[in-house]
Amino acid sequence: MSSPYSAYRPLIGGGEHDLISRLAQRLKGTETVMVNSTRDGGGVAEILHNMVPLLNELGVRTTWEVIEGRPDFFAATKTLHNALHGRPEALTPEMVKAYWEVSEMNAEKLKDRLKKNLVFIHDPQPAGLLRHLKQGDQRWIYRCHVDVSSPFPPAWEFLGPIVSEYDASVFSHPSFAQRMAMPQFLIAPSIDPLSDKNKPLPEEFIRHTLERFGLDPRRPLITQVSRFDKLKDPLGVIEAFKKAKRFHPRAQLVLAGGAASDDPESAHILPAIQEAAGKDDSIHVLDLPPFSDLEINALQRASAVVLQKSLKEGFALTVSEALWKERPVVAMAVGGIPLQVIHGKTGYLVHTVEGTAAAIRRVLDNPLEAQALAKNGREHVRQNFIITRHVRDYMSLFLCVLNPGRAVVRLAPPAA
Amino acid sequence: MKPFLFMTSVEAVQLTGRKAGSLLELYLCLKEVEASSLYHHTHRFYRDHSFLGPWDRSDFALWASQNLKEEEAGERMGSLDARDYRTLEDLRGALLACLEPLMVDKQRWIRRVPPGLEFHFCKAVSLVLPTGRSARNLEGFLDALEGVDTSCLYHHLIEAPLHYHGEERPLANDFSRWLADSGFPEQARAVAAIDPYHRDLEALREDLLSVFRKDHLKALVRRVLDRAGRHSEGDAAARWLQRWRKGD
Repeated sequence: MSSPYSAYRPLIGGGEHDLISRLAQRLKGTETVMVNSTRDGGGVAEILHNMVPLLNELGVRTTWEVIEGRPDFFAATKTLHNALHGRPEALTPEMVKAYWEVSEMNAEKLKDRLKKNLVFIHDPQPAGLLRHLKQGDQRWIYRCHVDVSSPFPPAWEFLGPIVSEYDASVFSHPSFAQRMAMPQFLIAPSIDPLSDKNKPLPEEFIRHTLERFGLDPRRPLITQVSRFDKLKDPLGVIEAFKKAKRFHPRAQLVLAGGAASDDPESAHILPAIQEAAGKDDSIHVLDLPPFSDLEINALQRASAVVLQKSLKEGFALTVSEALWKERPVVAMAVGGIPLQVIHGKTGYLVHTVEGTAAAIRRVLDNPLEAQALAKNGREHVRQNFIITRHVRDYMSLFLCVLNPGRAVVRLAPPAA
Repeated sequence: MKPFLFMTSVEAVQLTGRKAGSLLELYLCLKEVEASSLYHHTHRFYRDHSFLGPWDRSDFALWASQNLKEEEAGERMGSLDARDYRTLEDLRGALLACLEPLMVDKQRWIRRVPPGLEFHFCKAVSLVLPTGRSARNLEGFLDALEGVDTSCLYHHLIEAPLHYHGEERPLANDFSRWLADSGFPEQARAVAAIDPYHRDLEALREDLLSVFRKDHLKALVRRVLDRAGRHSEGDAAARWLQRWRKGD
């Protein structure tokens, strides 16, 4: 359940609040549809759950459609996802066939519901819809949420020509930009500070949550929240924790994760993580069901250190979540993480398992220093990575796409 | 009196696809990128990031110091005072001049950052819109100045004069030009003299308002002196000070 727009006013200030409302007035009459591949699980669905009601409340009529797929389609798109992240995995001809068959099936199903001024496609799964449905007067925008800074070439050879047909594309980090003629925009994703995952929680609930998961509230807690995925490097987290624990024997580690309906790999990774954790009772692997937002919130708030040891990242919203809660963050300098963690200003950036272990020790040894960084981190997130900024950026994007090719777009007052 | 329309702006950031991995590449890109890219990378921190010091507010300086480990180049670029440049092309020249002394050391000039740490050039598209507030007199102007969002101050004091008021940055900002045109030359000069880059934007609002507070104080003194016209100026000042201390 998303919060009403007025609830954000105390967080962002009246000026920004009014500015966003005024921007929305310029989009009156514009119809937008968001399209992705899952209603639940993962950052994209989470953002859309918050974003779509807010846009509508502001008067920007927006709908949200989810494509349907088959197991072979999602296996293909997961391969594509991994390869876009740089893993040398190629799409087989069967996978390509499955991709286009499911695209065609979804195009038939969604053809009437995608007749809007702006069609906003999230990630590769629904990207192919454009070839079936784009009409002359529409503007199609491709939103890339994955790190495509160094894709396995065949993956971009497949996706690139499709994306090139869009009117604009959006990336989360400048290094994801591709050689394409259309305008490419930089928009970071966001968290919702009022959602269950980020709202303030009573101390009692936090303590109760820790006890429910067998964690000791008196011992330093090191946490990584991520879906169980090789690219989140859960095994590297365990290795770094074990190194740091030699100096902080009371520390305890939580790897909290879950699965998304469009990610068939999650189930295979979990046993490997459990095996790496072995019999060390200070390592807790929590396979959380969907809708565990309050529990994740409690774990992050209780953490002495929040890790994000990803090998590749689109953005890693878990970093913003932790910074918002003023938690010290140690994170790999990959993907969109350096936009959130300014090294030595809002947290610590690392590049290796050894560096991660050293940074954990640094935080635990210097809590005041770490807390000062975390305080900056919260302000950094407030200014740059909360949902209202994201809404503002999307509306700015829409206005740019509707007024192409200008360095300065002067928006007249809306008609009375 | 022509009304002053308080405007504001938001930016949509576009990727240019250009990147630099060494001083040489940074130099070549700085020579060729659009002015809106220079503007974006030297000004984006002024809208927010109040916890970053002035030296951390140039993307070019940050990248040279932190990623390329060229502290000398970073410090030079971070120390440039944006007020010294009438146009973005002037700023381009100054940035290039910061790098030129390093050209002589060829090894250093071409040394690259590790993959993934390159500088990516972006540019900003500005969307300018009215705040809904306007002023027809000084009182209304001050009232609006107290109430508008900091993005409006940024727009009129920094963005509009430098980024898109024609080729040359006017000697005055939007506020001081309106004050001058409206018959307040003293206030116009005082507002033009404010350094918009010096502090964060809320503090800038205080700086602006203090111009008018000082002005108000001067007017008060003048009134007291006028009313006490039959006395000598020294006596009048003494009496005024006495009243001032009593809080009148």
